[in-house]
Amino acid sequence: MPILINEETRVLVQGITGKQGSMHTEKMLKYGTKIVAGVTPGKGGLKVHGVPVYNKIEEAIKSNRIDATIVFVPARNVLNAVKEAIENNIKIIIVITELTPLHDSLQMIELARNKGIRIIGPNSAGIIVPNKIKIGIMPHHVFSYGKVGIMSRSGTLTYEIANILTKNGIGQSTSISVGGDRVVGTTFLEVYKMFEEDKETESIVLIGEIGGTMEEELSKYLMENGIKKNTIAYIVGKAAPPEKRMGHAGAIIIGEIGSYKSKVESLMKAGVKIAMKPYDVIKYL
Amino acid sequence: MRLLEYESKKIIQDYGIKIPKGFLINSIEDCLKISKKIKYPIFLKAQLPLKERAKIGGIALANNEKELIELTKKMINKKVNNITVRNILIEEKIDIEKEFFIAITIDWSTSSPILLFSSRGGVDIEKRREEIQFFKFSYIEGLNDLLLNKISSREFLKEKIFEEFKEILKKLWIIFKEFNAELIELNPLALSTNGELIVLDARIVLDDDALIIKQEIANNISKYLINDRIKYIPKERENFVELDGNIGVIGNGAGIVMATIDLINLFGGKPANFYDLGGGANPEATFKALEKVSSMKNLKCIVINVFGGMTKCDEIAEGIILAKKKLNLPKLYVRLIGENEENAKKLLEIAGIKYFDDMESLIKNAVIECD
Repeated sequence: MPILINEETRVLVQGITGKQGSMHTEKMLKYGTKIVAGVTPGKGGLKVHGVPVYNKIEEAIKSNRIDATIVFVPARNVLNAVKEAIENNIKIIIVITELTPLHDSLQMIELARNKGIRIIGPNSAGIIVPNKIKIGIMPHHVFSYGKVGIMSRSGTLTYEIANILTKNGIGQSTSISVGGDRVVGTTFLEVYKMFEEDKETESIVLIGEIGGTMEEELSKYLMENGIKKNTIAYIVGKAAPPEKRMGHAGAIIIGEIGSYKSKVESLMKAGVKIAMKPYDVIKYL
Repeated sequence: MRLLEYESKKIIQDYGIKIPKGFLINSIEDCLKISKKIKYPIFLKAQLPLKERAKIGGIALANNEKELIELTKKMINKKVNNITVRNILIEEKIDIEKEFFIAITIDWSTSSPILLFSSRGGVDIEKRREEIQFFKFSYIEGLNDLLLNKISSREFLKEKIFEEFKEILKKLWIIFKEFNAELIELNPLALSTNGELIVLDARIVLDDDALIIKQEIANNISKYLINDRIKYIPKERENFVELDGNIGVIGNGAGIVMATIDLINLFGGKPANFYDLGGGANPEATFKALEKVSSMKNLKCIVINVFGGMTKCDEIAEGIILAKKKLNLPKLYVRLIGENEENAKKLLEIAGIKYFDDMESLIKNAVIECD
């Protein structure tokens, strides 16, 4: 069983008529994702690659069961878009949007949490179960189905590692990009627990980066509960100067918190193998 | 964006919280103008976006007019930790009975706001973590009386002052929300010997993304900023960071650029910068990146590492080829893989630009040949 989503997941696209929304709808459809509806306020009645567009989610769910939504709306509207999905009880909300203001993220995450709804992102590249379904923007041809679970904060590095695995005949069970922001709806620890439960996932690859405390929290959990699956971490940002934001909102080190050293040391203590270079990941699988 | 003390205090004062009387000066002339009108002793506080200014000579006390002028001469336009002191806040000295530390910030691990409190403020508060009380709370519900009543300052403040203290915290929460702050810190908030609660130092850090996306916040903050500080309001995501090496680095996505920089270091080279093209970059964006990076001093070569997902490799290739024709570029080390990779490679071949298929050989070659 893949985690969070599977072939039967029925997907809504918010912001489907925009450039990104429309392009990725086509790509996801080709991959086999069951996209049943799209939403763009004011564009109801249109069709995008054959997918009916509605003005509101309320209208879209009248004739379609929707399990997950992918959000492509611009940062200034993302809070309202996510609120609408939460109000309509869509259980999985994947937010691709970059530059979401911190306070908007805090609000949407709290609202979702209160209703048992899962947000992935913001600033996520999405989720893919290779050969089955993708709800995201990743170049899917570099992924292949298999037994390695990937969780990552960075889109491009996920592609990099998946490509290396695939070229070496190693497939992936599910790959999740949790997002590059400082505040995200789903953390490494939460995804890790799902991979731990998942029978098809034999090993787990974590692609982390400086900033935040998600890697340290995972280490703490592993120290307390023991490491049950082979886990490899590749952490970037070792050479980043302090107090400089390295592209991702989350990739910033202030003081000792979130430093490369703190992440790598805590993960190593917990029994996680550390890859120094992307290619080293396969040495440990 | 990190606000200066003076800027933070102006906001706090606007929301009805007391601050000491003060004057902002940026020259000796300014100092002479006020030196006769004020009461001594008086503080001089360099306006720098640094913590622990006191330890690095950023704060001084003048006992009379002569000292004030001397100290101003010593401080103004001097460099402290590599930052020039352009402004000094001259501020009345408050007699203190008690000092508190208060901060509202984000608890990153639970994605909720958190209130920090200590009944002993002061410069080393971070090192006395055991003295800090932490209160996580709901963003949606905000700070309420129930939570504020738990704060043990009650033991130190008379009932009437405690009510005032709670009002200050509530106001801080309003500021925190309205300005989309990441941090608002009062250290110290003092109880003066006159029985007043007054903010002696304040620090506000704003969310850059909010300043870019929410124009009303950017507009609002601009009226609190000192002189030319307005240019520090971010207008777009920062995608360029200068480093001190000689190998230029361009990539698409924060992760891959950081990975490239790390590998350059691992292989013994020194990156000159970090340049993230972001998602879906076109030829123009690529040209702009090369223009910016190639204008850096001491540059020996440029590494371009692109894994195209949303980004199309052939569009990046077009930008590189254009830049090669029009700019005076150092040696390029290019790797383009992913979306439209075949077409990109053809274009590069025709233009006589060598490319690499994998990241390690790309970077290894660049480091060896650029040395």
